[in-house]
Amino acid sequence: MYFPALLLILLIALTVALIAVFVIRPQTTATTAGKIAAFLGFFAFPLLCVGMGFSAQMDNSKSTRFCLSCHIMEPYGKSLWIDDPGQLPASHFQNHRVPPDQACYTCHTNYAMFGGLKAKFGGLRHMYVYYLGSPPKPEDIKLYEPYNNRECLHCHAGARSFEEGVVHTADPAIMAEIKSNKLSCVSSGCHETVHDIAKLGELKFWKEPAYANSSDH
Amino acid sequence: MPIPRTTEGRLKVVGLILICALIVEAFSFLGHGAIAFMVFSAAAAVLVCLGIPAYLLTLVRKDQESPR
Repeated sequence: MYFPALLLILLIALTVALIAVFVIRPQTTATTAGKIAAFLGFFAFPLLCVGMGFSAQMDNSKSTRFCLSCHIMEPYGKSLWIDDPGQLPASHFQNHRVPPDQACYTCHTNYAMFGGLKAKFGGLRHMYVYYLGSPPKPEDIKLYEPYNNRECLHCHAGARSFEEGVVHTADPAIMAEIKSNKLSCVSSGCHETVHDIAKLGELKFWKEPAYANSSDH
Repeated sequence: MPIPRTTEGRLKVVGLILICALIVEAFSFLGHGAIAFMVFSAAAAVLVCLGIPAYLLTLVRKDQESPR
């Protein structure tokens, strides 16, 4: 458990203990000090706990393991380990072009104004469909909207490899079309191998060396 | 369950609601998946959002015990 979560658990324990005093001995609130303590226990601390908890849950909801916690997403998680540089998500994940612990969120959020909020509502919709609706088969899952180049350009715009890419600069019109989202990065025959889960059984997978994360733990 | 008519009785009920909310919140941090998120938002946050206004109402309401 990381430090802020531990701090939050301690704050929750303190608040529960404080409230328990007033539940067992409500007459404690008769004094001025008791009233102040009751205000802290019944109002300020619970509000702080729920605020910190909300923030921690929001951070956690960006994590790769959160997205992959639904079974329907397992093949998509597995596709991040395909041993093929032509597989767009796999090459981004394995080469840390996206933070591996927030791989899904980094590419599938929305980098427009209130985009994070929109992504969160999208996530709530996923949960509604998964738990209360009829979820599709993994291979039938489609994006709600066509993938927008804006999400790619959030990182790649200005990068030398992108701006001076042979194909990107072959025709001056290409770059303009990419940047205006008229020519899609992922569905124009260029970087279109994305989450190829239908062929998972035929593909090889990369296994991260054991020493790769030894410094993190 | 009868509605408590005294401030002390109401504080006990509010206290129990908030204790439940905080315990549920603490347990929601044991998980890291979507269920933990739902437990937090559908139970803990809702109970806190009920408990705090109930506490504030307790402060402004008068005791309804019959005068002796």
